[in-house]
Amino acid sequence: MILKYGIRDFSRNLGFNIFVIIQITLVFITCVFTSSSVSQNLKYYNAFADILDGEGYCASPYINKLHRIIPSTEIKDNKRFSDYGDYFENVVAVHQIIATGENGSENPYPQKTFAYDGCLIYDYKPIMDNGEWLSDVKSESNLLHAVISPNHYGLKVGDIIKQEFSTSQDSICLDVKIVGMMKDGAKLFGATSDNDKISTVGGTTNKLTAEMLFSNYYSDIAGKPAFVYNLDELEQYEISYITEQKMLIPFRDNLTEISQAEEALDNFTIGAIPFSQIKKNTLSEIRKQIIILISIIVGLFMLTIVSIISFTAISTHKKLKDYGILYICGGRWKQCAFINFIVIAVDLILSSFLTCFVIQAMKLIGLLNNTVVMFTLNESLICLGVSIIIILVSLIMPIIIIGKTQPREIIKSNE
Amino acid sequence: MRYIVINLRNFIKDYTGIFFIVILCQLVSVLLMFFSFGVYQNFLNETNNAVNGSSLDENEYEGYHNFQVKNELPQNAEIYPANLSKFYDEVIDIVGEKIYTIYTECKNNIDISMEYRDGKLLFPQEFEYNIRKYFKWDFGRSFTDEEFFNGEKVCIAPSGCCEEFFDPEIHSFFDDEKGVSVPYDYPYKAYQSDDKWYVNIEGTEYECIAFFDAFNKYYIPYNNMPDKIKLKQLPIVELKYQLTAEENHKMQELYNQYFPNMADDFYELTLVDNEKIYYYNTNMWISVLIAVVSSINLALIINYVLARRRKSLAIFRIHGCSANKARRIYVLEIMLILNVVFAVCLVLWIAFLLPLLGRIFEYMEGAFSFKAYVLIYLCYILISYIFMNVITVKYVHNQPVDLLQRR
Repeated sequence: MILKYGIRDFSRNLGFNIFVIIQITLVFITCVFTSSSVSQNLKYYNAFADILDGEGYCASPYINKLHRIIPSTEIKDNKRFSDYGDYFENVVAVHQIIATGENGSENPYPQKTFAYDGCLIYDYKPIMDNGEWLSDVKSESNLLHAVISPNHYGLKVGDIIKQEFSTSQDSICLDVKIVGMMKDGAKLFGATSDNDKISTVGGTTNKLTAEMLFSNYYSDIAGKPAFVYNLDELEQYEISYITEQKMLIPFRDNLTEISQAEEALDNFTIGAIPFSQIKKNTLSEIRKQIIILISIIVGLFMLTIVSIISFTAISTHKKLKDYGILYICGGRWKQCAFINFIVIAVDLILSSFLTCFVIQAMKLIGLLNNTVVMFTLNESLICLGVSIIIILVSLIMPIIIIGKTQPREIIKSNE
Repeated sequence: MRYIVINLRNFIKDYTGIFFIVILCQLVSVLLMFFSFGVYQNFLNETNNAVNGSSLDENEYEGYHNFQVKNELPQNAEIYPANLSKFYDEVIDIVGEKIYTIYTECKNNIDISMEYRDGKLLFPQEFEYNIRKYFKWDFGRSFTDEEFFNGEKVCIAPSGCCEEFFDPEIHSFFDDEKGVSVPYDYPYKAYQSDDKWYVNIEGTEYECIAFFDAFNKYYIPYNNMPDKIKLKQLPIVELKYQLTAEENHKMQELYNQYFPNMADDFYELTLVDNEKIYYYNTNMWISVLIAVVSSINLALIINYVLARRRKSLAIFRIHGCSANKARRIYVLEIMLILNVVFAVCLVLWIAFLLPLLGRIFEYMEGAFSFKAYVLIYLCYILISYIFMNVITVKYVHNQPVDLLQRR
């Protein structure tokens, strides 16, 4: 019955409620944008948050006398590590594989390959143009998944190409499905061919941050698009890979022989920078940006509260006489407040749908192309939080406004 | 005016709570409008700085500065000066203000050296000063901007090509095979005519306005070059600021267009970080959305205040008040509240909030000039006035009976 009254009340004040729906929608959209902005700031740190909390170093692998980068198999099998005991675990690195056309022919899709595992797949996601990131796809048999950068081959999300990869024994030809496309200039760990950022900046260790470990990848500059693979998928087929450039080398938990571990690092890496320094630099940078965003969040919060109070108060005031009549007919103030709550709930539901629709429409039109806006679980939770605040206020406000007023006074009032 | 004051007094007396909420909402909305304007301007400046790219001052930045092709030019490559002139114009169109210098080395020691100044490619201003300071300036003066830009037939030539300044000890090189110093063979020798020096470069006569002793190069304006000049390497564009990905792409396309099959491999530049630009764009969107929500909030409140007056409006109309007069009374009443609220917000903003936020947002304080405040005020008042008139017209043209009956 109350539900019926609530819905009827909604339809009787349709114009006002449309205004309220638009206002709540805009508040939700602003929350989504703000949340995306905050996530963007924390993105690079979050990718390595757990690792940087521990002991370890960021360093580049040592290029031996033959100017050959140490093959990954040595690191994978811990051959060099084993000389010094098991000091390290879960090394974060960028790996490269060699992809050719079928039967070893020239690859029709020359590419710069990146193979990641661990946190670089599951805790970091570059800015995507369309499709999914590797962490969002399920592994399929006889099929590798790849995320690519913009390309002039005409490849797009959903395409499947044949590529041949070297394995430890021979080679294997597999289908590669393009599951996502990054935006041009998206940041990848180990994207740049020059080690300048880490080795040069590493020379002045007080500057390196988590963000600097990533570099923009531009297909034009590199001359070919990037193909990013999941190392776990490659290892299923025993595809060979080489470990390149910068690595994050965490020490094992509870390691006591720190100095021996550091000596081991000296033997096969250069430009080692401790995690503590990187974490300090990163948090300092984040703090500067977060202070800016906090002021925006405070403004947004005030706006949200004021908007909620104003439309709830106005809504209640408009219906005061109706509530008075309902009271006389047997209803109580709490039930009247609940009617108000139903109206707001309907507004919220419609606003949620409208928010999703507007954001999708903005994406399709291309208005969000040059932004970092995304609509993920975090953003949904924030909108949910705002909805809860709106609901609470809509429940409390009528009771405050009505207060101890008698229904007779309300009906007799001139307005 | 009397009725406006009476209405306001009654509103405050009879609906204190609602009046308080109305004022509070207006205060917050106006302050947030200032805030969103400041945030927008701040991130607009940040975006412009990011798009223009970091300064490539050698002391600060470690990375490649030049837009340059890696490919070696084929021996038989023929590139015509007429095309080169058009090429330079298109480079200006693409990267304009980011150009520091453009350098093109031609065969037979001819150099085309330019810097970007005042929207044009002109001969480096500091050339003569530097040669005089570090080398030797034997005669004359450097190009004037007009001479260089208009492609006049003047040139700066090496001292060795002029018999008056030729010194066998300086203008020679050691021939390893012969084991002796051999005078340098200048491709174009200077000759005198009517007390002026000239040099004939590929069939075109140039007046030598200067001779200098540093590197054996001939400098000529790039406009109006002789047709037979051949390039030794493709133009090198030295940059002051980082390029965006789009600019870089356009430059590569331009090189491919003018020098087909000669420019497919470029030195890697570090480009403007697109993600930063996306982040700033997102924050600008946030500021716009905040302003829009504030405006809707204000509109909602104004609409409600007017709706509350329908009974008194009906009574006014019954007593002979015309629709137009009633409209003016209500519009002025709301305008009075809005102006007072704006004035209070302005004082609060300037005295307290702007200095505080100016410490957080680098460019915010600079964005608030007197002109900006006037602009914000005019937009605020104009939009409010138009909105109020639209809403008020809706009410005043109703019959008094309808206004009294409506709930």
